[in-house]
Amino acid sequence: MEPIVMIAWLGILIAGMMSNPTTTVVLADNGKAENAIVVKTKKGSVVLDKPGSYVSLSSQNSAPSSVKVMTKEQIQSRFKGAIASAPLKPISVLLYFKNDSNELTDESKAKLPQILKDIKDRMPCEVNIIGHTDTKGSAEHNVVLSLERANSVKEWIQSQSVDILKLHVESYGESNLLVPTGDNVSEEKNRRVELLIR
Amino acid sequence: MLRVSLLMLLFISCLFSADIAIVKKLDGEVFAKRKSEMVKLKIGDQLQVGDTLITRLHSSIGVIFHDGTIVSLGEKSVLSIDQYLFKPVEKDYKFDIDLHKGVASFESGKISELSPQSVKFKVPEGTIGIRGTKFYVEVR
Repeated sequence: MEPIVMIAWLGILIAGMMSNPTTTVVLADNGKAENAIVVKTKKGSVVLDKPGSYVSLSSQNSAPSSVKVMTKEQIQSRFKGAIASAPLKPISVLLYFKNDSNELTDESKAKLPQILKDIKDRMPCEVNIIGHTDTKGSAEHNVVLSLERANSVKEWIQSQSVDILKLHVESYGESNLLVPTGDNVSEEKNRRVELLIR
Repeated sequence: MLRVSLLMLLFISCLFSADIAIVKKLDGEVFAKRKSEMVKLKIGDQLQVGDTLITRLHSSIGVIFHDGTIVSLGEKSVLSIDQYLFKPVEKDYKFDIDLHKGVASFESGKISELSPQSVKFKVPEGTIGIRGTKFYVEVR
């Protein structure tokens, strides 16, 4: 064989070996019943739906391996860097309001101390405040009302001397009902502000 | 037509320069390759579409995207954020991230809940599609 061909062959071989990473994907326990992923290459796909189950991938042009199972200890040691650096989960909280008002119900007022603690636990923290209404009254009125609700929560957070990185205020009016109803229906579960604390 | 698409492009690039995720945890030395710059990250920093996160030896990072998706990386990892769009009002969602190497943990947020087909986690050999999920990946 010509030396140049040899070198080319070697090059291809080495490149082939180097471009042959092996990826391992393992489904983790997310504490929910709904938990599945689809791992796909050009040659096929596999669904993982049991925590601890995993597949490995050797190239784009071969199908994922058969499904195997890793123990919790194996997962912990293999992925510890990523597991240890995962931040606390964001929390979503609903606060409810009195009819046609930006005043919180008494039950929701009682939730405020815990919300403050959740924010402090997650510093540096960002909060989304998303206002909603029920369908009672005109859609235009409800856009204004849901913004007022969101702003009243914003003012409460701002008065708590926590150093929030960013407050995002959004207002959906009656366009995003928690409990689906027809138009002009008074529904207490829809008079709400959603807080996403992350 | 050309003008419209140019405007669209401008509009999209404006959206894309926006902040999309926050650095919540960080250990050691972690960089974001942003355009041609290497930005050294610290806790509280914001990430943008197009950023490539790079963790050095004994370094790690944990971020939360605006929809609540949690992504964290162990040491010697490279992950690029190719696309991210979270516009619930317009029902516009996109989420493409690419783990080139290293170890990552992914826990899904609102985008996966509202539009699971919009979420793609890429690895060199293929993709991982999400159905409301937490998983770990290692690329060697």
